Amino acid sequence: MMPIRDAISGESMPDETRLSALYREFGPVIYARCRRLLRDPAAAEDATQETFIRVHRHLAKAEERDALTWIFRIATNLCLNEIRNRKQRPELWDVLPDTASADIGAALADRDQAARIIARLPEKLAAIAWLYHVDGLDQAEVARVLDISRRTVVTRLGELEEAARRALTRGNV
Amino acid sequence: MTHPSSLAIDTLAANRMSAPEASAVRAHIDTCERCRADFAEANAAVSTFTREVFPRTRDRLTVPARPWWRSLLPVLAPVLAAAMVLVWFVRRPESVPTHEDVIRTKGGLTFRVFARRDHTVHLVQDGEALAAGDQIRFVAGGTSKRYILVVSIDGRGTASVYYPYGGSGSALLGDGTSELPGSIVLDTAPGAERLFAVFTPEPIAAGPVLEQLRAIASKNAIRDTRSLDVPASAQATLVFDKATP
Repeated sequence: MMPIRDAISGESMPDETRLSALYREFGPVIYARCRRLLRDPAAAEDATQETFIRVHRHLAKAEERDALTWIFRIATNLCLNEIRNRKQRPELWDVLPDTASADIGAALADRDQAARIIARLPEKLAAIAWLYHVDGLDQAEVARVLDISRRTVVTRLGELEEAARRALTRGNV
Repeated sequence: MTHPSSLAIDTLAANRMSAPEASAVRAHIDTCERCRADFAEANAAVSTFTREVFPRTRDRLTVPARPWWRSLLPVLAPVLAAAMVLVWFVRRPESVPTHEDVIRTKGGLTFRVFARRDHTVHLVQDGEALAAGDQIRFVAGGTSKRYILVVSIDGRGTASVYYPYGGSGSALLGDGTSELPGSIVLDTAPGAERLFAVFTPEPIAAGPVLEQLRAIASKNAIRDTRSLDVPASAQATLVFDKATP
């Protein structure tokens, strides 16, 4: 994929133009990503704009990065934080189904249920859980998107299994 | 091939995938109902962004001259409203607002106030000082049909309907987030002024709400009253202090 400096072509470009170019180039895929996670057009719109504000804020450090992967990571973390915040709102969880399943893969196959489970996971596991079990990325792709080692992914997937199993068998998701 | 990841599907929908990879993913999509549905969903989102979201929001994504941290806030106020945890969280009417409630970020129903002074616009925070002559506007949003009534009680005990301006009842709020039409120029009434945004599933009359506001003012409780006794599905409130310039 293309480095971000190619996506916005040139350091001499004014800030506004760079931000606008990024938004135009990557906005569609990031908006699709945010809608996929948040299931709410208004929230996805907010998250998309927030993503590009963050992207722009850290642009100087990102010249050599794979642009889409980097932006994708920012959007994913932002949306997962939003999902985690939602667990504070009881009205969103009124329709939470009971589950006796201890199969993390099966439980996460349903996006709504995945959101509920992930909202209760430790932050360091939430992004891995979503990327691996919901988005279907393999371990190497998860490592690349999150900019961590594959070994860390494997370790955290093990922790995730345990954390999710505890949550599921307690029936509190 | 196994199912492509959602990242791959979204990337393909946005036409940002290399030709060989796109070809492989398309071949899978052609034979997989689940991925075809995923791709259709991604295509719809991309189309919505390109057709509606980008044209509507691109002008909000402007960057001021450096030093960015000083001038970013006023120029990017509408975007920062979405970006930072300065949004009022619309709480359930029976809840007692904590500081965390007030600053919790978006999702569900939202209500934000922006103030314009000269050529600068910023997001108003709870407890902020504004001045006579400042113009305020409202941005409200939700994910389903709601009615909204924005009312105010000021330091002189004057209760007003700010949206729909001067109206006798609440107005329909569409899906999504939008700026409410019209702006309010603050008058010279000094002291605290409190706004309430009341979201209801059905329209309500403004009269009884204004009566409550006047009662609040008569008890000198403008600063301390954070919810109204109305059949609202949600309320948001904010107080600002008004100084005469």
